[in-house]
Amino acid sequence: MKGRIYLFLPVLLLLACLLAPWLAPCDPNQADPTMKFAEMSPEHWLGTDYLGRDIFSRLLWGGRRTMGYGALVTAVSALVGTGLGMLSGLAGGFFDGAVMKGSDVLRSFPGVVLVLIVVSIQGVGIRSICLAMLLTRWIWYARMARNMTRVEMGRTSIQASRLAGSNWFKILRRHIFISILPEMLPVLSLDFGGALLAISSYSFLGLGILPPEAEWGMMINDGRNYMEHPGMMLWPGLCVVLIVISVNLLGDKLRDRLEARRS
Amino acid sequence: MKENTADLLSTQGLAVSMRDGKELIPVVHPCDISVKRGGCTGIIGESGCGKSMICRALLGLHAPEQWQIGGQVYLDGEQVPIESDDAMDGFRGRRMTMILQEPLSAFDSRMTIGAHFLEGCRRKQKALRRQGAEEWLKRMDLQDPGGLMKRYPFELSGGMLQRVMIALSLMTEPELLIADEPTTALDSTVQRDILLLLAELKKEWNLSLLLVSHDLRVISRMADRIYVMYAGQIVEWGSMEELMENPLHPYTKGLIRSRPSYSKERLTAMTGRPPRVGEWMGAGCPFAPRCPEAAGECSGELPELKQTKGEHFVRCCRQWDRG
Amino acid sequence: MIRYLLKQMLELVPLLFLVSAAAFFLIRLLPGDPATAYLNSVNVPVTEESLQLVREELGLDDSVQVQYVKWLGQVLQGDLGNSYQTKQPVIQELKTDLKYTGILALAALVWVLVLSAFFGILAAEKANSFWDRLIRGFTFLGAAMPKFWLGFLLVLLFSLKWKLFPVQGATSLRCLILPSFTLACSYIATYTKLLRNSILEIKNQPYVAYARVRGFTRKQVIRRHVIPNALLPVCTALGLHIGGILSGAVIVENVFSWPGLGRMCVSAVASRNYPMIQGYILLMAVIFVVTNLISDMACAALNPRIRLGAEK
Repeated sequence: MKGRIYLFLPVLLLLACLLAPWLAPCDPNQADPTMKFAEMSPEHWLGTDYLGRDIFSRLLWGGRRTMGYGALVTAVSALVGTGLGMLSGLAGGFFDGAVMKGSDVLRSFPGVVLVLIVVSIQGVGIRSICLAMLLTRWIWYARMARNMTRVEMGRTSIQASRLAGSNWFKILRRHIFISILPEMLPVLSLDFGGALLAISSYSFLGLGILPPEAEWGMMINDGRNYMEHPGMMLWPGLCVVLIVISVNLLGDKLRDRLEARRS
Repeated sequence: MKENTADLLSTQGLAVSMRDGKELIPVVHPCDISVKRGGCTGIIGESGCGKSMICRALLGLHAPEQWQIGGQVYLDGEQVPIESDDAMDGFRGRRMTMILQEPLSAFDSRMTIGAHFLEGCRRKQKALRRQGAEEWLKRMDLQDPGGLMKRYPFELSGGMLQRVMIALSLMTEPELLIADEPTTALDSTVQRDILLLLAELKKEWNLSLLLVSHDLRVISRMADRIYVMYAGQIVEWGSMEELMENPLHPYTKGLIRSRPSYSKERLTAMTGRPPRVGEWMGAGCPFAPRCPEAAGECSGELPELKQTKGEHFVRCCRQWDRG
Repeated sequence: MIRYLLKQMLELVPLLFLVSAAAFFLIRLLPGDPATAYLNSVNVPVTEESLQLVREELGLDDSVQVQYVKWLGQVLQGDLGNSYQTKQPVIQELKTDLKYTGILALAALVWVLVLSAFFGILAAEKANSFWDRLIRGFTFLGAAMPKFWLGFLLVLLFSLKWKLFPVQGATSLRCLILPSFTLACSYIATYTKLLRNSILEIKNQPYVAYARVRGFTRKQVIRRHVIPNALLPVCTALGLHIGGILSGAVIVENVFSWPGLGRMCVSAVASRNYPMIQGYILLMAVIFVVTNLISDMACAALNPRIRLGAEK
């Protein structure tokens, strides 16, 4: 169990954020001018911010957004990427070449440029950010799915299944998707961490979630003008670090286990 | 402590164990091996029996964090400090050297052949070293040594690279050359050429050779003394003629039988597989489960390596009396 | 070598083309009429007269293809239009900003190369020891730190508490230390880990054993064979991370009020200063292509297999 301790805190945090409507002691957006920069107290566990809002409540509600959108982006990009990758692996030829070449270039292209393009067109907001992130995040999945599809296609079992009259869709779903799935888990975990960092970064830049809604990156941004009250940015930052470290560790562990099983 | 002066290299209880946490898993059990001055000793055994481990141990190449090495090695009567990585620098490459199995992976792909020859050479001596290298390459029957020096390893064929590797290893004129499966990765026609080359070099330079292979044809063509290894142990050894004509251990017999020849006899293969490292824990003869002559006594105690006659030793309790 | 480089360059040309098209259509894709949008963004009342003026000025009466070709011609001559806000030529503003971003990125690169080389080699040499574990812990922490948060923590400690470095600005070398380290931190973590694993893998390669067999000492072999070969994947990874570093610079510049491209573009987005955004996007694409070529060249110089086309 000692090895699992890194999962304990984040899961607790995750649950707390999910249960924010019941757990949060205050309304996260309710300002109280008389209670600016309150210290930690039984009433306000982590104190209050520059508008007198309860930091603990904002932390829980903010986590819902940060992690929720992170999970959404990760899930959609995984689906799109895996689908495209499998198709690309299956089709081969020009389509495959084009997808791989395109993803090759897009993979290392500065993501912030895409975000700027989308935000300029669509306007500031979490929708633009998520859209822009989707534009690059599918690549990792697509490459993996594509390579694994190619490997799987060479297997006799799949050729046998093809001979037995299964159509390609069935083969993709029944054989290839099933064998790709375990390989995807560590990637999903690592990518979720990256998505969290990206969402909070863009919100910090003021391009994502708009005030007064709470979000971890935004909360840190709020805190930058009140450096003499470090609590405002310390707590949301700690939450981000904690979650990201643990999903990274989880991803590494999953990958190790996968490699151990393979050899 | 002077050893038999007819032998250039001899080991006493050379053993290799793998560290697994706090446990030690024996990979090579204590063995005594010797190479005659100007002679060729062959070690034969299936892959995984510990042949390569012996080669690496002789050159002190085992990382002490992962491996434990026991026993002594003497080169020309002088003790070789195999357990000390730094002290081995005086021996490796100068007095004893090695050629490896896969020629391509033995070269650094970033460097040209010439750069490998000139590595570690002072600027003033470069021209001299280059000349020497080209001479050695010529001696290896390689065409256009000057052009070869400018090529990268991945531009050459396996056979050419093996020749280059021999030249590179012998350039420092060592007394002992350890050849770990020198022909395994090569085509059979090239194999023959390389063996001829080695035999020629041995004669010309009075080189002593320790040849390791899983191929009995290779060993029997070159060696004057043969060690047969099974599961990390020497099961039989003796002079080449004696061993080939009068093999005693059932494993040796099996090896000789499964060698392809020009007769019309059906080729017999040995059944079963050797135990994996750490699988066999020391009770009885490790070969017993595969042995066609096994009897009850074989699973009792591990037989010792006993002399039968002259230079012929065998580790089989059913053969001592017959020798 | 030259053929290889030409091939790489050819692959990147479509990217430049795509990005320029994206930058061009940026204004055309805006919801509503581009001329109205322009007038709104420069705070001129929207009248029939002013609309007509703007249409002429922006050449909006031509067909889209003609507009694009005209615009591309102007861009190639270095004319990116004028900033809505300062009325200065965009290219002029970008030039000064580029200088600061370049300094920041280079300084970060120095941090990354020096520190990850040191920690990576140390961790590999003392694999599984206390130091290795400590370094591994730091790599996890470094990779998980949001850049902006790390920046604030550094400011809090080094600037506000100990008053070692200025909080922000770009007036002296001392101003550069905190921002560049903040930008470098996650990459230091990545490359330390990469270098460590790469060294450990290469140490098991036959050519390393063979070099030892030929009588070279441990140190010589590590210096001549292990480390140069371990740097090959690092070089490849650097090429992949160029985009990330440029993105990261945007955040760091905003944290430390560093007068670079990133801060400029965020304020341009906030004030809907489209010529500046266009200019930034184009410049980024050019920087990206150029740096990618440099990294490809470096990889090819380090690895003859790539240079001679023996390996992609």
